[in-house]
Amino acid sequence: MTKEYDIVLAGQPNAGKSTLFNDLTGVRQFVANYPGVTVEKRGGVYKYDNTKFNVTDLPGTYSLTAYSIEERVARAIILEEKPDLTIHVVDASNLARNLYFTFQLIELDRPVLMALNMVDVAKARGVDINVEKLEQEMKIPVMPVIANKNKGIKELKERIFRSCETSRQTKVEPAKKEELESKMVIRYGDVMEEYLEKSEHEIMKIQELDILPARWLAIKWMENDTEVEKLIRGEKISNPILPGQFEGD
Amino acid sequence: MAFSKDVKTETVSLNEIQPGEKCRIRSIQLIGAEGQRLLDMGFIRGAAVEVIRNAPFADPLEVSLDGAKISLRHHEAKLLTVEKQ
Repeated sequence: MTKEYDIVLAGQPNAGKSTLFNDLTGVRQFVANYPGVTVEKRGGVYKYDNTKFNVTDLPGTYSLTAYSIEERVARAIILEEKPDLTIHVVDASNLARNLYFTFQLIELDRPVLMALNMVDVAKARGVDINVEKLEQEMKIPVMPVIANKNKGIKELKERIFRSCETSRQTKVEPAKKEELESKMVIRYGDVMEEYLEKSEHEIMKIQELDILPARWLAIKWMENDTEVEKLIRGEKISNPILPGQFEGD
Repeated sequence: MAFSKDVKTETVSLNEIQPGEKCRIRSIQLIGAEGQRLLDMGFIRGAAVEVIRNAPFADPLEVSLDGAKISLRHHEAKLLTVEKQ
């Protein structure tokens, strides 16, 4: 039997997700709706190195909050279906704005690869991105591509393949997990970190929630994320973050 | 202007900034989905914003941020406190 990997494409609107999706899968695509919601699900497959890759194109969103159905769908797929790899398609000419989304993806604590798209447009605007430095700082693989000119796709496929192999490996060998998992952690300052730590501690007591990353739940709880609040409230634990405790900024 | 203000610490709402003027974001009072969207767009403390178009009573107003042009409604811009530059 041939090996199979599930990968998803995530990113902000106009980053070139769909163009890259077409580059990867060619004509082998199908369109459906996510069950129960009117959010289009685009899927496709491609083969690389005798391995089948099932690709899902997530809805384009600016964030991964609970405010819109598209965002809830996007994050639920990454957290619940646990794809082997999430490819974050980034508009290189608007790198700073796209990085907010990158941080949110990293906080989901699932394997991420950044496809740095439109590097030609960025260059024309005088923006030359140091890919190696970006990889070091973000601690995720970064691959420059020009999706609308089909450039860098072969190299991207190779990197996707390798990343998927690594992410499966971490699942099989927990002993190796630590050395492979040097993840970037976004710190929110002493005051917030103190509450995050307390929240995380409370969250980890709930067994039903241990399939979700505790720090992510704590961060979303702090943001008053309605979905996460419901998840936690269902378990009757006290919220250490009470209104008024952030007074004084 | 008829009255004088301390230029260095003058904070106003973004919707009071005239076209061509530059400012920096001090704080954002907009909450919920709209507030989140602005944060996602890069309206964070310290961000440099230039107002391109702003007419009273006429939405939207247009600003430039990180090289991108973004249109805002007056009621949103009103909830962004900025420092004039």
